[in-house]
Amino acid sequence: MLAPVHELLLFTISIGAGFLGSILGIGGGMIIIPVLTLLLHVDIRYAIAASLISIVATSSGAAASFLKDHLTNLRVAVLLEIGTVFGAMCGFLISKHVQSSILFLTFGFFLLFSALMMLRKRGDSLSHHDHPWSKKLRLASSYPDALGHPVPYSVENVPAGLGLMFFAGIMSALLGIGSGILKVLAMDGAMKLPMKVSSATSNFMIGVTATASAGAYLIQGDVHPQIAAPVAVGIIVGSYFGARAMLHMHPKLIRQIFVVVLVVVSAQMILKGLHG
Amino acid sequence: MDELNKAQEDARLFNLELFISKFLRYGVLFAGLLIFIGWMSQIDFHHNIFESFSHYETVPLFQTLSALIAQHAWGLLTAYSGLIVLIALPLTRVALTAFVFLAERDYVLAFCALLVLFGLGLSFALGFEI
Repeated sequence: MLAPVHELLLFTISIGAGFLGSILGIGGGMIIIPVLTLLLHVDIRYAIAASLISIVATSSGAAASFLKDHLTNLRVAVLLEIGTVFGAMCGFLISKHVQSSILFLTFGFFLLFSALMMLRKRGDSLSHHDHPWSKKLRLASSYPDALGHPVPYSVENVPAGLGLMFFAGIMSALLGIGSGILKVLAMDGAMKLPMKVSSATSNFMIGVTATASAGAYLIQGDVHPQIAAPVAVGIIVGSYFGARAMLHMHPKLIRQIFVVVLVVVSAQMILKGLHG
Repeated sequence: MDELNKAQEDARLFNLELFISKFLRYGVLFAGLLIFIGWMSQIDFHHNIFESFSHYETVPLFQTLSALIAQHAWGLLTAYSGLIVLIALPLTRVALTAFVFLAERDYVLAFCALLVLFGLGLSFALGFEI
């Protein structure tokens, strides 16, 4: 095989990852890390660093779109970014002392968990009980319903949400993912934010979380343009087209197929972890 | 009255944050362009580049940059400059958000944004070998 074909293959797969990721509402990292490690035999630490760079690029570029829909709660985002950024810092420190096999195992189990989460039924359980911290920081807000009428909501369990965000930050830095699934769980599960608000706010925050560890990995020397460039550029291009194609596709069917793929890939990652 | 004030504050905050986010979009395009140009100009037609990344061996960024400057490897240097611009963008967003909260006299949230900025700085510092 001609040498540059590998890089062009990675670029093409990254376009697919960005396309699929934007349709399914997941980051491209969950697709690209198994491709880099299992298919191209790149060390998982370089794959994680490259994936984080692509997350920073897609999330920063799309921040304006997340705001325009009037669903993002800026105050909640800024508060919870404290948890994710300090969590990412711990995740980066942990990664220095963890063997590759442990990273493969953790990634495999996280993929399995993500597959289960993608199958769960999502529904709102709005709260009208404001936590004292929420009152102090004026976190309660409203979001427009289908007719554009404002639906008010309160914010519960702020300390629990911050704690879960800290964990999400650790996982993001350790595995090179956006941790959007964990962030949404913290916001709609613990803090009782409406699902749409949780998703939009999570997407808005992902870039800052990923930057905390991506910057550290870059300075440490783990980010290589030969890997990060095709991944980042490919995912940016793919997510651009994915966002436009989303209107004409059936995400439910794609989601069900993708869950099967995730389970298979997670099994391969776990096996690779077990065999060192 | 309080509700009305908060709604007006939120609307102002939203517009300023939207402006910052649009600015970031152009930043990402610029960084992406640098990364793309740098990557294309250094594609190796003779070796499978991924073979050299199958084993983990790390060289600090500043050591790599010094070596690339000495070798006049402008392609890789361009790609690295794109990566640095990209990483600087969310940092800029958080700094501007802190400034916006300060301008709105929302001191608690301004403090939160500054704490995030401090956390990012501290995290970057961890990347240096001590």
